[in-house]
Amino acid sequence: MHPMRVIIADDESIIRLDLRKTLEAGGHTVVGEAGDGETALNLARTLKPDIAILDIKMPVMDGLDAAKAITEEGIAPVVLLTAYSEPELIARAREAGVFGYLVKPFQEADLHPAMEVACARFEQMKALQEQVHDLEDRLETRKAVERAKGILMEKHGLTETEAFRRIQTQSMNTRKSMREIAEAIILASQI
Amino acid sequence: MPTRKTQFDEIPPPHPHSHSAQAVESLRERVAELEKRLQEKELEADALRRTGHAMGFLLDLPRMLSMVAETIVQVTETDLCLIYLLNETRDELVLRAASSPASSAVGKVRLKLGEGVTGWVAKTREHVALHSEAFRDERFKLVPELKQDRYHSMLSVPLLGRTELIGVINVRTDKAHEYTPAQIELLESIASQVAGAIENSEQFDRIQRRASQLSTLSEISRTIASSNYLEEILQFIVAVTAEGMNLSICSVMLLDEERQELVIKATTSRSRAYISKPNLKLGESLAGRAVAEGKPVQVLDVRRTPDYRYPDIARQEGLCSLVCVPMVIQNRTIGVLNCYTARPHRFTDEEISLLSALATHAAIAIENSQLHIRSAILQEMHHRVKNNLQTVASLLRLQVRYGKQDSAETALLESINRIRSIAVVHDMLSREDLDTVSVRKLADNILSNVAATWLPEGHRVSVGVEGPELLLDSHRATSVALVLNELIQNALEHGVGAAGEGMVRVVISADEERVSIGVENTGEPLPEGFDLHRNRNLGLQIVENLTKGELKGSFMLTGGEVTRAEVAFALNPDPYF
Repeated sequence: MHPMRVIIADDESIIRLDLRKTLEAGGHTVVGEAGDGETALNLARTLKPDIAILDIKMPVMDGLDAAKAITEEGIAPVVLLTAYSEPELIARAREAGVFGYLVKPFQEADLHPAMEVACARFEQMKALQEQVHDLEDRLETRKAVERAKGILMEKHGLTETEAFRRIQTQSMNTRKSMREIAEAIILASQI
Repeated sequence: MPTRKTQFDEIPPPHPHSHSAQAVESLRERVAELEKRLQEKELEADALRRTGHAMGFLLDLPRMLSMVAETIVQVTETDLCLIYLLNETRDELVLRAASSPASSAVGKVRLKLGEGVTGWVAKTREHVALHSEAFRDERFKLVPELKQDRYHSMLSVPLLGRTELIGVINVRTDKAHEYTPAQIELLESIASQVAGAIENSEQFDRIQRRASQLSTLSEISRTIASSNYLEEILQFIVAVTAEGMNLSICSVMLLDEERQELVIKATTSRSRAYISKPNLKLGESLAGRAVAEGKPVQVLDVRRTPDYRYPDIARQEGLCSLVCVPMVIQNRTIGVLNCYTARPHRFTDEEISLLSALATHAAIAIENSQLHIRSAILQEMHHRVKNNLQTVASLLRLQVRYGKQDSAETALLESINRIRSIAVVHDMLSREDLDTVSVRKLADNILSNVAATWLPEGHRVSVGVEGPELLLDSHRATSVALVLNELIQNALEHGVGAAGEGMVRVVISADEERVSIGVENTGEPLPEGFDLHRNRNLGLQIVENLTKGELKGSFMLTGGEVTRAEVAFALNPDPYF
């Protein structure tokens, strides 16, 4: 298991102390401790931990709201640690996009696997998001270059290869992406 | 109902000096006349009984009116009956009920005040009887919706409520018909009965509507389970009832099942004497009797009722008639609704059934709110138990991590004392209704627990708690309990324990802002160069964490002849918590 930088939040300091010691015994580092959701969220934003372990019932901002924000901002995977096991709350946790749910009283043996799984899932999700982003960009580039080629061929009587070369050369000379050059050509043709 | 002269007064007595034959003849006539009138009276009584019946069990106005219209046709031996009621703006009469051939016109016929014979009756509030060829009357107006204006006779009487006109009742016959004074009077008395029923029904509608808000209100209570909420519902009930029924005082008493007493929970009365009157035993006074018997009890004048417990208060507050309606839910009586009027008033069956309906609504609302409160408490308890289990599990796991060098017995004893100190708080909470715990009692309990564990038999250590009575909420009290447990254990184990004699005391002090709880002990002083922050002892870690975390305070340890460990924190918790 790889060591992680963890933030923990629970409004009971004894449970926090236990959690800290348990994590430290597992080779992890607790980089931040909070007694309420808002502090936990701020800690997550500034410390960028590998994982956040949050209790649900906390003052000021509850663990679910903090979990939702941390997940939406893509900071870290969240594991909820809570005395509640009501289906309604589990459903809310799912909506908040949490990566793990441990019911109190938790066992040391449950904690580490839950963290591992949460981290692996989070990495997977991040990788997929990046892939999606990359694919989207490539698709857009292709569309733009196709259109720009058409414009150049028509205006300057070029062949397709010549038109492509021109865009490519321009991209290399100006250190801009082919998509940017293509978009500029399209924009220029519309004036 | 207006009082009327009896018709017998109008009949002339037989002449005293007439011939015997004449006298016999005149007597015979008089007997025949009387028989006829008797028959009419019987008919009237029967008609009233029948209309009364139609109105009695139906509080649904449209159904009641159409039944009344049918009954009127039967008892007056006419062909058609039409009941018009004033609209809300009181400028138009609307046909609200009609006997069978015309019932399809209900709601479609509208007459201005003064328009047609009916409008004239409404305007003048006097009856009109047209014996034949009604259409020749100058006030006559053709109403095409009724499609049968070839009728001959018509009798139209106003529907008069307690204070104002409500509408008009018409009867008609297809052939010419002479309306006798008895028939007119019959229709008028039916009209007055109908007017009363309509007013009751409107009142019922109004109160029913507001009473049904109660159920909605109790739904909302799901979110907040405070005891104030129940009081709000009850206050609402008494206010609505008093307003709707024109009462001088309305109050709700709920049954305390344990004590079998009725306790006033809400009242419209502002009188101290009334509010603070002592609880009633079941069966005692009128309210107690209504609850014991499970049915309404009413008296015309409480000041002259020997059973009534508070004649003095009644005199002082000007209370006269009273009806006590039990609040029943699923055959269980949970309380009573008491309604007082300032003047003598006999509550009618309609009024009592109205009050019973209201009392049922109230009972449902109360039951709902109690169920919600109970389920909220149960859920909260469930959560607290699980959270406490987690705390216990955490304490045990920490003991395993920290107490590697301790013997198994010491480790267990330490853990047991920590759990016991949490249990002390819960034990104290369960004995009292409030969610607060006395720090003095808490310290006393923990001190004797820990002393019993760590001090040998026949020790010479004096222990005690000093300081003012101080109450803390259960959450912070649990933290204080765990802190005290560790500090007292340290004092006994490392301080006096080593010497085998001395003193350990808990000193509580508090002003308006801050609380300080110190544990002082004689005996072995702190080790040379002791640094609190370098100490990795579990007990002190627990104390530091709880003081900083839950109590948002500070922890200090000072040495010298007397070792003093002190936690200090703000009396009023952070407004967030």
